[in-house]
Amino acid sequence: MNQELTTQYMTINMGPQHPSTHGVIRFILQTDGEIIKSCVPDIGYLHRSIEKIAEGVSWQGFVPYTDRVDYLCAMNANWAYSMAVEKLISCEVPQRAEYIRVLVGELNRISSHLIAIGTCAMDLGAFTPFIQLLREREYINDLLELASGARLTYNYICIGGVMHDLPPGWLERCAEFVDHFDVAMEQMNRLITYNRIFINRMANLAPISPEMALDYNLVGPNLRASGHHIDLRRTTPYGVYPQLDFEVPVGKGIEGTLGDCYDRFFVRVEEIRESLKILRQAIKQIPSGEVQAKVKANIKPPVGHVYVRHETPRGDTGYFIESDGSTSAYRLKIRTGSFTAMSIIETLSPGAFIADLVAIIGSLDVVAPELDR
Amino acid sequence: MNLQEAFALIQAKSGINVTLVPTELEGSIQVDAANLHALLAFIKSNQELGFRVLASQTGVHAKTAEAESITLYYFLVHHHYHCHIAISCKLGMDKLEAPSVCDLWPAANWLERETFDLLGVRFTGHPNLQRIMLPHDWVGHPLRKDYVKPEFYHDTEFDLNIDNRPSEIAKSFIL
Repeated sequence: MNQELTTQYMTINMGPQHPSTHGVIRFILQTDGEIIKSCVPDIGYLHRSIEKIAEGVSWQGFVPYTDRVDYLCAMNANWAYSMAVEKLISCEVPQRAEYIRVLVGELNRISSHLIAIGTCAMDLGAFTPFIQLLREREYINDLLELASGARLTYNYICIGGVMHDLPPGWLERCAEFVDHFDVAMEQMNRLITYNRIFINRMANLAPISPEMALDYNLVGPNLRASGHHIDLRRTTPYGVYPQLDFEVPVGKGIEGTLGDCYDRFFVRVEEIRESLKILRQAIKQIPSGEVQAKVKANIKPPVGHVYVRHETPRGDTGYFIESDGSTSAYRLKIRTGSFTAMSIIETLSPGAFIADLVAIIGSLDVVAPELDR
Repeated sequence: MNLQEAFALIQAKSGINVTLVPTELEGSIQVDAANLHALLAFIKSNQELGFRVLASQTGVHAKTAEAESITLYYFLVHHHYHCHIAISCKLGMDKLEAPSVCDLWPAANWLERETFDLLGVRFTGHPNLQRIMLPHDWVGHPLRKDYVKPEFYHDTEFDLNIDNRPSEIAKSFIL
């Protein structure tokens, strides 16, 4: 019996409507039994031509559209776009507004990471942590609703500052939340992060080497999980981040290989702790004063282009804006973290089980609207 | 390292004909399509420059009464992530072709597909140059300035005459 037994590959269509893809994404899988031989992601189901819309609306009018680019961290998306336009028109933002931006931005980062780790655990069958984390996220939604009036698409950070000042008593409520959340995080960690079954499921799965992470241009927590000490809040500090003290958590391969699924999961858990640290300092340091710089209603920036990078929960988001001096962008390109995180799946998944693909997608924290724009 | 320093180093060491395009905001280093791949390969491998990561790739379609062109932009980020530079390449409308850099950065694969899809630039040597955002049978490239919306897609008619006037209920909320 020298002849090897060969089986026919089966082509399976995963998605576009699949509970674990978190949005409308389709994967075309070639499988040999349970093992994936090739995986081709098919994206574009949520393409809403946001870049084309930007060419038709005013500079201020585009801010609400950035909410829809990534609805899990709309504050950070507002912030990234506002930063880009502020760089175009050389606008100075008041100190208080910068602190408010940090406060709401970090709150939004926590809520985004809660969804990321919650859904990652849920896809692997652990449903309870997800429900618990959503309950905690409600407190953040309440806080952001008090500040902005909306629970998901805020349109709060605008060009030149923030829309309006924080309501009275907001900072005290935020401080209460931070203290409460420390306890909640401990509970959550006992439930899922240090759970032996969960660790064994995630460790050594689909490791990304440091070199590969750079080649594929992974950003944010995915890049840091591969051992790179890179966080734009540290490397190219913007806003008031230089005055705040926080660590940049990186993957160390604590439970297996460097850059595996558990590292990517754990970096996000650590980042929540750092965000809490930032919130505590910002609540203490926030000065009083104006919250909006004087910006003309008809912004007419000089001719040229800027490329601004901003650290959102999904990493380095780049806004490229080409201006021809008129009242709307000539060309706007949004480069998002999910786009490259998705393109690496094609390389990562061959050899993995179909059930592992779900873990890989969950650990990379891909958000479909941000992917397709 | 800023753009001027990078430009001086590239001009001195690479032997490729490049020009600096300064603007009031951020400038770029311009190169012609024939030398684009060689320049990017040089920058990636040069330790002194350190621009190891391809962060973004895009194109801008510029159309005036006299001239029409598509300028490609490549944004390269330093491996310490503290700075970036832009490389630009101007293509005439008669020859919308540029060499693919997928062999240098796997990240370029999808970025180039997106540029091909939305702007119609062909990347020679790309392993899988297909539309990525739009359906495979879509006609036209939407991010061009002279793009006209189609009236039909398969059997569905796009209603281009949507009534945007506020309804009676909406009017009652307008002060």
